[in-house]
Amino acid sequence: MGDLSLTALLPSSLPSWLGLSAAELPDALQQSLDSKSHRERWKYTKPGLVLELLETAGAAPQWRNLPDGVATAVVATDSADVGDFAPHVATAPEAILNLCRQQQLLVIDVDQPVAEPMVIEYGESSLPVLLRLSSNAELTLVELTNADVDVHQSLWVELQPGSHLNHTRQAFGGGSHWQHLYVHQARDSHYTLHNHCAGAALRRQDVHIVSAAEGSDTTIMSAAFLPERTHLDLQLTMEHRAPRATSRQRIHNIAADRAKATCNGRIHIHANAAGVDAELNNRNLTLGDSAVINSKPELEIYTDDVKCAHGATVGQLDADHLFYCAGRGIDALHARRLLSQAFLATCAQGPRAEDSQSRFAEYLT
Amino acid sequence: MSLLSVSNLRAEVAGKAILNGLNLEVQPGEVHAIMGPNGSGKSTLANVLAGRPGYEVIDGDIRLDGSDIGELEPHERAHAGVFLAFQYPVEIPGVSNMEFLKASADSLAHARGEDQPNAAAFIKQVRELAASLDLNPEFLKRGVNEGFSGGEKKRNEILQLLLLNPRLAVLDETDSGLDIDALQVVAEGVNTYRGEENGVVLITHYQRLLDYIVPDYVHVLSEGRIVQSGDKNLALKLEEKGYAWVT
Repeated sequence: MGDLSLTALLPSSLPSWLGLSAAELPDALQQSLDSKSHRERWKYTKPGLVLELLETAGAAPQWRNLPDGVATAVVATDSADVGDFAPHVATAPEAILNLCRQQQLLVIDVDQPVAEPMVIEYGESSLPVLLRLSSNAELTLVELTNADVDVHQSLWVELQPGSHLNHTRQAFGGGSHWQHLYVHQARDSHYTLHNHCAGAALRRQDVHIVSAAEGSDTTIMSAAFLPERTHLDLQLTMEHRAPRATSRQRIHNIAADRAKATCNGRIHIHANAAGVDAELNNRNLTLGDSAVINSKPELEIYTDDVKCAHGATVGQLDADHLFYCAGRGIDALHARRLLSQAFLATCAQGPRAEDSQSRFAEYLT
Repeated sequence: MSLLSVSNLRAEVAGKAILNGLNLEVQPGEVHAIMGPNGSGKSTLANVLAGRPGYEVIDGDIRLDGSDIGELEPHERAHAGVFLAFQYPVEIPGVSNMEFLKASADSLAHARGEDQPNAAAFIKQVRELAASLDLNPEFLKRGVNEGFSGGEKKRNEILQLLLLNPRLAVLDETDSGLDIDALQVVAEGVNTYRGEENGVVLITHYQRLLDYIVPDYVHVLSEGRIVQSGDKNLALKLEEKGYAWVT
């Protein structure tokens, strides 16, 4: 990636929360980009491709509706109101670069339980979004990225105590696509992510969830189908910084033909996070001899008093399932379709699930 | 013409000979019970008839209504009329029972050149069959056999048998794992299916199932071939004297 562009991509004035000058930031970002942990996370996607995506101008996403109890505003990245993103220079340099470059972000505030789902369509829009749920607020958020365009998105989420966010991301567009998601959970907050997508020319998804206070609950359900020569690189980090919290992650991917699916799921439990109950399960199916699967579950645990489990499987459709179908007259092609759809449907749940399952069915027809 | 004609059938699994020249003739309307000790080849016979991959036929013929089905794919055998009720029905999470049954019925109708069953009438029929087998209709919404008890799985197999109404039913130890109440329900289902137009090959370890499904013939399988045949009284003798008496 060299220095493609860090200097060229950065504006002359930087947000004050960075605490770095325009001369210092490129070095700080480069140091992060060159770090061992970053290289490991970007082993299966060329980071330069994502940096190139950042060169596109940011436009605010469109929402289909603005339910009562939801307020939006486009504010300057430098605004004191948006908080401090400086700690992310080391862990998410691309997202910080994007924040600095765009100079604005869309802020969505929710201060009460909202019954009506909020639906955002990204199209070519790529302005960073900051979503904040006040204490005990509730929201169902649906993000749609289904256009065949090159686009990048970053979503920063702050969940205050007792808040609930039910979140669906649907990404079936065929261009180059990078999504960055960071979620910070306060005490007794609940976060559920339903991630439904197809492979694309480039599809990179970085998800970092922080359980920052006890009693938080996190669920991630992800289903993806990768046809032809498409790509998906899903990088998940579930970071437990506080005790007595739970997290469940279940990821099902199918790679067909010559597609390439990567899932790197990391559970990081800090020393003071006793009583955490965390699970991650990644199952992968290949439907072609030349499909490639990379699955790497990681545990990083610094306390003894935890329940933590992880698993990863890579395989083909179960021969016993195929024979059972055949025994009832269902031919191999139809059985493969039925079983593949079922494999994905197990994880394609939540809002928009029916639509996503229909899209998967189209790929399998 | 026999409904099922098996002659000199030799088959092996993973290079090991299991069936060693088995002969069996089933006429329409007949129920044939196949009994025998563990390892005698009973389940292998069931799987070979259904065409399970890994069960290799080395020699012999399998004919259904006079047509050689030995080279057919498993789904083609099902189209021809062979139904295997599994000893261990698999669980398929994500595929609802109703969806699976409809896919099966549609495939069989298509193979016969018939229209697909009307969805509403089909659902009604399935629900009625489930009720007749003491299966909670809610189970039809769940994944195929997902979370079912052993007895519920076997009753689900019988539901499929009654719904699909095949020419030949091969029941592989359908009684295993059933309590006496479930056994009676399953047996009643098989007796409902039983008729002049079809045939049953009933594989079992124990005589007790034959109290409820009375066979026309009982065969004892040993070392991959039938070593004795008789009527239902043969099963009673086996119960009394054990397999050592004939093998």
